[in-house]
Amino acid sequence: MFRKILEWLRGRVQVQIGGLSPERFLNLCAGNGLILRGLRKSPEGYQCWMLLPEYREARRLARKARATVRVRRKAGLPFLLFRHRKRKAFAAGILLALGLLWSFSLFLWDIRIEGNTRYTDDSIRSFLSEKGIGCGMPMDAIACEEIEAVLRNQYPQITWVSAQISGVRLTIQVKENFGLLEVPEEDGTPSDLVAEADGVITGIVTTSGIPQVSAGEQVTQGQVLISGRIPLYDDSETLIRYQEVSASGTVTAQIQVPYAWERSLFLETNRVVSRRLKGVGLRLGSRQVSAGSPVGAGAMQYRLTEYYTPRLFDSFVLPVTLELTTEYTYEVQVRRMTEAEQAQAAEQALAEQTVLWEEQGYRVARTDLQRSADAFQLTVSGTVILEGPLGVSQPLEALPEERPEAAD
Amino acid sequence: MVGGLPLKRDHSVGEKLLMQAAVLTCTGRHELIVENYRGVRVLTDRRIEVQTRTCLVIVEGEELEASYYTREEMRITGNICSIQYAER
Repeated sequence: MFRKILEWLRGRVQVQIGGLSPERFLNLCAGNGLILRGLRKSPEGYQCWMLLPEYREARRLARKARATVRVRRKAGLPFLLFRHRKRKAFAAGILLALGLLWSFSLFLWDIRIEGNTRYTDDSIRSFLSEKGIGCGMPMDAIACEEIEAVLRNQYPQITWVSAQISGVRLTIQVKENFGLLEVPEEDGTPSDLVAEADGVITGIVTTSGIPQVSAGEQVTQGQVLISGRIPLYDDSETLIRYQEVSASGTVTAQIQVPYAWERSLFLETNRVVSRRLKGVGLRLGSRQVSAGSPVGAGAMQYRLTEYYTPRLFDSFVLPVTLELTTEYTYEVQVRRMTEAEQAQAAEQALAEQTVLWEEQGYRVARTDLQRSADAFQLTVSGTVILEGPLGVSQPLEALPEERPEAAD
Repeated sequence: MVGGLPLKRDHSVGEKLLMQAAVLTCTGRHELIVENYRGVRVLTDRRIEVQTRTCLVIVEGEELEASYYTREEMRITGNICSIQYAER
């Protein structure tokens, strides 16, 4: 491949070899270091390809061998330039384009931010712009380490930052911290762990205190699950005192919660009836030129602006952006939902609620729901059995006076 | 024979070149590279005769051509049917 490119740059010719002793000419060429390619027999003698500089030497050897050498085909850059020697503006245009591409590659034209959810792209770009980092700045003025340090200092929720240069694009990858930034202080107040709702215990693991219930047991709201009052006995098994602790542990139970959801039976859809081009803009770096109607969209209309940025490669973005604003006129169509759409809407609502329950640590064990529809409303109601954590801390109740005093 | 055992001969390529022998490298029946020769005597699409220092190498086949021909080596491509050696 590389050899073919070099040959094209130097130019090559296909020659027809004839005369009295063409074989002697071939051997003379080989003996003088000339390279003949595609050498084959032809009706008039032989034909082969040779480089343009070597052809000049071959003509001298042909006279020596009394052979005739005639050019049949020409290929390569020298012949291409000669053929278009009068098209100076075309050549100048190519050189100008190459020069512009090279000069564009010296500047930053695109900043891509990935991994951010808490902080928007615009807020991070605005901050970088305040620090002098933005599109149009020279590439050699970008210090990735400084960008990483500045972002970490500015945004405490960002725990990891990576800034990389690829082509004319600066790619910033961030990782945000969604966990606790402060360790919650434990409340040492002696307390019981009590059920906040009725349910059936499915599992209990006690870390502090004395468990009062076991798996499979039915509990009611307010019932003590883990007691924070630990009785202490002496050798004769006489109660000496109580040690009060903050009861803790993991108690899981199945609880029954009511579920109710409703929505309108009618669907509104917007159908686009016409579209018109309302504005065209060209952005070059930070400068913008636009033309179009400044008036906003009217009733039953909306506008959509699309941006087109040409790029040579994935990371070589040109600093030109075309903006096209299109105005769409729509009409609202109202229709009643079909049975399938009603079922799908009910399932989707339940799925969304399930996600919320799962975020709270609950799992849906069983559902008992009924779907009904009247003239205007679709309703889903019933009960859902959730399995998840049960128990909240409740301060210990004071003991009666005849009982031993509780220890600290 | 040396000490009752046959003398082991190792004819490397360098040794062959010193003996002025041609070196032929054949890949299947569609490519033949010839090194260490003096010149070409006949070159047609059915027969190529290469003059070496010690003999004449005759390659016969169909659609034969020299994909390259230099001072050091040449490469013959096509459907090679036979390679013969003859007195030069």
